[in-house]
Amino acid sequence: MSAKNQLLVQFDLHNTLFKNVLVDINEDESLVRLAPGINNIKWLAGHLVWGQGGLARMGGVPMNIEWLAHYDTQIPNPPGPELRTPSLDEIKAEWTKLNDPIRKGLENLPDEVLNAPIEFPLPAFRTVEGLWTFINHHQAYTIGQIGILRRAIGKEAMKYL
Amino acid sequence: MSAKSVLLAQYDLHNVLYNTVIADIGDEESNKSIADPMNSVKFLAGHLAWAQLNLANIGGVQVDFQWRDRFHTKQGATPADLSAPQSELPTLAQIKDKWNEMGSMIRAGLENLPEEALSTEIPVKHPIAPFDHTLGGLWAFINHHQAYTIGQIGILRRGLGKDAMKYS
Repeated sequence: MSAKNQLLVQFDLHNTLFKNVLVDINEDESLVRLAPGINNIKWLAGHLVWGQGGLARMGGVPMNIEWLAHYDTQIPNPPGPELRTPSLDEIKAEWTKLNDPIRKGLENLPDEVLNAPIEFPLPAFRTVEGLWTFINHHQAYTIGQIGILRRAIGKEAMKYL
Repeated sequence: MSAKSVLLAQYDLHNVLYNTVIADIGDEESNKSIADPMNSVKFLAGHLAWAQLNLANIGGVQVDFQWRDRFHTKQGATPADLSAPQSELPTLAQIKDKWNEMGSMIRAGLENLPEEALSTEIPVKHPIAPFDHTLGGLWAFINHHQAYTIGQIGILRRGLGKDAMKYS
């Protein structure tokens, strides 16, 4: 299997798990903050959509989501209440809408694009493909965070299928 | 990058993050469940080390892990886990040392795998779609699992009042 196909398999897994990890969680529950310093489920779901943004750019898919800055950890001054916050359902809908176009874009990436150098803080990931490798890690890491928080609000463990 | 390089890059990242995600957590803190029925940091750290045994198998490396009975899950347990002798609960520091002791051996095994070995069919079918039944598919899944579990400790450490996990 090529590196690209290996990464696509992880991408597909995360598409399934994004849905599964949010199953049976309503808007109010998604806002529960378990302890100071811990993000709530809605923030993590929004952050996962933001994480898909790196893959959307890579795959040439435009992503114009007005509320995305709420979930962007790379901006020095995150927006306040002046920017509307979406519902959990809106976040889920954006993920679903974007998944197929992003996948198609990634699937069509030629090797020379994947091997192109980029700037990135961690040296092991300084190509387009390296960034994709890192984003797959990031998405799994964040899904895991929701996976443990859903247990604390009395939900069943996330299903893998 | 080859498929193997991609998987090795994730392996190396998780090796760094394993150490940073449990940094500054004392043994007593690691035994706490911050809310029922969430796992403790110690269970998750042990579960991560246990999951590395899959990578040792992929790389054809023999490693000794004396706490199999403590850190497997029902779904992922092998006959060797289920018949493992009862062990004493280790400290978090012991688990961390074991991870680091196994790490370089496992990495060497994975690095020496020929690229074509990743297409080898595994004897037991992979239960989780979309992974195929190859060694490379299993490795890609274990990498996902390790990131997922490190993320869980990343949340718990915040609940214990620690700084966010560092990426380097």
